[in-house]
Amino acid sequence: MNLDGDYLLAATRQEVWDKLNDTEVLKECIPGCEMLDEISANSYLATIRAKVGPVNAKFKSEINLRDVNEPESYVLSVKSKGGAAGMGEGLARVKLSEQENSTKLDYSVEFKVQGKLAQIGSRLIMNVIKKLSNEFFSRFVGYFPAMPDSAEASE
Amino acid sequence: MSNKTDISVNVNGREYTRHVSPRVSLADFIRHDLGLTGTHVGCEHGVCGACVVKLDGKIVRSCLTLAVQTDGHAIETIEGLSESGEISDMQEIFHKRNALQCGYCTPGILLTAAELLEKTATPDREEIREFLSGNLCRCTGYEAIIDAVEETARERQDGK
Amino acid sequence: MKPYDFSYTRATSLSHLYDLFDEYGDGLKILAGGQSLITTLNMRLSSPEMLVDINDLSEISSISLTDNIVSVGALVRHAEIQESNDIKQHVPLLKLAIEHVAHAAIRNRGTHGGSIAFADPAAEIPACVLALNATLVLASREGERRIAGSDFFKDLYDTELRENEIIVAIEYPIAKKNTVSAFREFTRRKGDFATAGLALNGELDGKVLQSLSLVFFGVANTPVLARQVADLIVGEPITPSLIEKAQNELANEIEVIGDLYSSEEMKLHLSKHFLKQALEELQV
Repeated sequence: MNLDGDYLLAATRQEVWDKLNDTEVLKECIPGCEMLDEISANSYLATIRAKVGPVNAKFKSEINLRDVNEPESYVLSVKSKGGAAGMGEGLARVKLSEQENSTKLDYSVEFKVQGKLAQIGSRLIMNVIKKLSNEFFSRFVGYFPAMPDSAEASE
Repeated sequence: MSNKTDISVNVNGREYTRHVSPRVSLADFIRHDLGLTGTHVGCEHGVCGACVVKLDGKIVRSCLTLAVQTDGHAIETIEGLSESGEISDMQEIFHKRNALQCGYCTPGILLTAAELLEKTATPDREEIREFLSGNLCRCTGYEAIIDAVEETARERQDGK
Repeated sequence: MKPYDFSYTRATSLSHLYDLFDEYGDGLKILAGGQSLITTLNMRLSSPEMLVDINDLSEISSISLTDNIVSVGALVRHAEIQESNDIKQHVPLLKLAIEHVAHAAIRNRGTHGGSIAFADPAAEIPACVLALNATLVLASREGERRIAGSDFFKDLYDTELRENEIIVAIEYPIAKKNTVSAFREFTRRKGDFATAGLALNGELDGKVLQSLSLVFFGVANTPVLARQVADLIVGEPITPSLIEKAQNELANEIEVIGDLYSSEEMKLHLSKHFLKQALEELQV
């Protein structure tokens, strides 16, 4: 299942790209991220606290940047192990394109869950991913000045 | 963290006092601490019904109940119901009608069906189906189980 | 499977519970029926420091009837609702809905207040709270406050309930002579949370609804009150063309979120279908 959207950012493409590759920025933007360590180029280990309704736990996660095509696009993959319950994996494809006085960020999120997590989680995973994605991108947008007209393009 | 507590539970009419950790489920307590392995553990999240026991006379999921919660309460398991003979007619009919194969779900189903027949003396097939909907069986295809519960109800009525 | 370790205490009174709130803050979880909470503990998806068992609080575990409300204590079990004559007679929508809640063994344990505090968007009871505009009585050390059902559910699993508060009772207005109710839901397996569902409550005079609440659940982050659709129907004779108009308006009014099994389109289709079925049922 997919989730798509875009944002208009008042910055050059290079500026947006740099933020997308800044560990501190990623740490701040990933909802519930308590720790993010770079273990090799484009590869990180993270501790993410997920807090949605009945779920309130820390998950060890691997974050990888793939198909890196500076300064235009990459794929951010987050793989989390959910205790005894299974695992979840999310992929966010991010693409930047230059606009007049701004940069357009297109994103598309895909995800899958495995194990018992899938049995109990499949029903609401869409709502949760939507919520988490919105949190991620709205925090990310906060790193840039507001757009003159509206800060956000149509979703 | 040592937060174990003593609990006293009446299981099948016998008092047990044990020292347990709060995170131990009633299902694990019954099986591991008391050695009563007729209560089965399937999904451990309330879906399959294999772990059904009676708590203060009513069926509950023992995987969704903590052992510490039952301190001072009464539990009945399939062993208790079998030994008292109160469901021996149903057990015989389950056997006769091939309403069990591997037997994993059977204790939970017997306890659930017993509660149904306490509430409704002669349920129709739809009511039986509805009441047993929280008990999964991967072998029988359910028809034989429903036949057996229906026949038990009928025999009990005829026997009156 | 074992949950993470935690401590366990039985609350002996509400004020004991408030003391524990002060001591443990957000490390505390209230254990009522536990039918959802223990699942997440078993899967290690939640790791509270302290679990406070409120099952001994008899002051919040009964159903009482006054002149115009039925007050359901938070600890009343689903099975008790199912068997209550007061509920059957005075809160008929809840009686219809409770038949769809999980299974017998879970209904013996799961509680009314727990289901509301948990606020699953696909659960039957939150939908009824909204459709009946029940009043929730929330208590804390500071005292009680009452909040309308329509103000309670904020977002996915997010409610007006504060960290140091507990739901103690749910007050349902008593049905009038002309009250009508309907309940529909679709589940993948009997007893599951709904893929989509509808809780309807209204007042019918002849062939015309004088008031109407339509709550769709399983379709968004909270149960959703379809006010515009209801406005369209109220005061008009229920005819096939009105039903069709209402179905079309439903597609405009509610924003459906799909899941891994059921697309947005499917959930909307089911919602429209239930709306039609429920309105047709009222015509008969």
